[in-house]
Amino acid sequence: MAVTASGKDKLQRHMRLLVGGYDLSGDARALGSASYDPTEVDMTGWSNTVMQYLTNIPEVVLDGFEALMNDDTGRAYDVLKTSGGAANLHEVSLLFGGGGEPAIGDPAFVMGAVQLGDMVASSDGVAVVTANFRVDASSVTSFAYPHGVVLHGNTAETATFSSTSVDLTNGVYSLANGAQAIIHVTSAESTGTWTFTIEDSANDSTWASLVSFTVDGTSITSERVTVAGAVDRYVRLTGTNGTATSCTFAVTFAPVIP
Amino acid sequence: MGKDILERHLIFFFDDSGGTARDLTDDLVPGSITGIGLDHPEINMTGVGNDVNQYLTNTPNSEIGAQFFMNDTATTGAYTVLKGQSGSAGTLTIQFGTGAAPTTGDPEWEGEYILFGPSISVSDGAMVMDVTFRPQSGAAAPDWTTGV
Repeated sequence: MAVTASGKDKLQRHMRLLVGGYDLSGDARALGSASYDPTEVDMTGWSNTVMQYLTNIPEVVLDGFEALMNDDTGRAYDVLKTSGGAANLHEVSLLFGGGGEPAIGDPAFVMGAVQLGDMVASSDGVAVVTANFRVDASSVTSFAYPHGVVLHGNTAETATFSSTSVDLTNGVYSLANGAQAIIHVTSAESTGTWTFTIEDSANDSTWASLVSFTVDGTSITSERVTVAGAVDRYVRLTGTNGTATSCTFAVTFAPVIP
Repeated sequence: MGKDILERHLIFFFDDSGGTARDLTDDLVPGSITGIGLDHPEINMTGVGNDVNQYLTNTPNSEIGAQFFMNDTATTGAYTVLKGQSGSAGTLTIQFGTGAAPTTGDPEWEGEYILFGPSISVSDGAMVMDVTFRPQSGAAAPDWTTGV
């Protein structure tokens, strides 16, 4: 049975930002905005009685992320610094916990991103690093709609599992235009390997493989995968292991809706 | 009727992706709604010989801004409704109750608008969505009427 949405309970303190397999939330201080903006085209003619508009190419933006300049391995400065002038390319997931740690069915912002800069400044006496993200032109060619759901919170699994399902339609959407998904392995498996697969179902009981990740849980990393065409109403994540013992990871999924 | 129209008696509707009008008022952040009605930009027509600055109006705009709490309740939550309508058009209706919930004859602003956004941000510790509605090209101009 699909998980039920938790409602009007999304707070900043329950938000988590995962970048390339690293949870930066412990250093996070601020977020400017996370948006999908269709951008307007002014179509007003001389004789129109009110200004009128159509939409242009949409812009996906995650701006104004500010974090403490923590230089420990896997923390904000270590992950976000752009050494050697190279632009950092990341899989980015912003998870919005509903009343607690983000869990299955909670909203997520999903983005194959290029990081624009790593500006460091002083804020209230401490050094902070600020990062802005846009869609990565080198890897993202389609299915970039970012507003999705959490398929697996950033928690550990120790045995083969099938997660609770999520109803993607939420009562109103159609799902004919593909999807993207990102996995973040935040604590690696030490003894074996995992196979992670997203399944979909029209009836929440008969499941078929929709897309699988290449990532096998053996290293801290992330991966973005895409699906073309229709997605069934219900999705869930499965993980199978052979000799594996424990892996901590998060998965976000965003079907193209508008 | 009269001098008794309060924000707490306002009702905000926007269509979901299936064309059903959804009441988003419970998720509307107090004091966040802007731009209801027509904003007429000024054209300064003052000539050198005029005794006072004088103006005409240009084509009016109707850009409505609002902020909603990030409610993901199935079907009716503002996050659920608005994320499915990003870049799409729908009927926007704002009803103003006079001293109570809106009833027949109360003021109402309505039109076909395209939704731009949502942009998610933090406000006083809560996750909120900023959205902008602009009139849809080719549709009838939004206007004041009476509801409900």
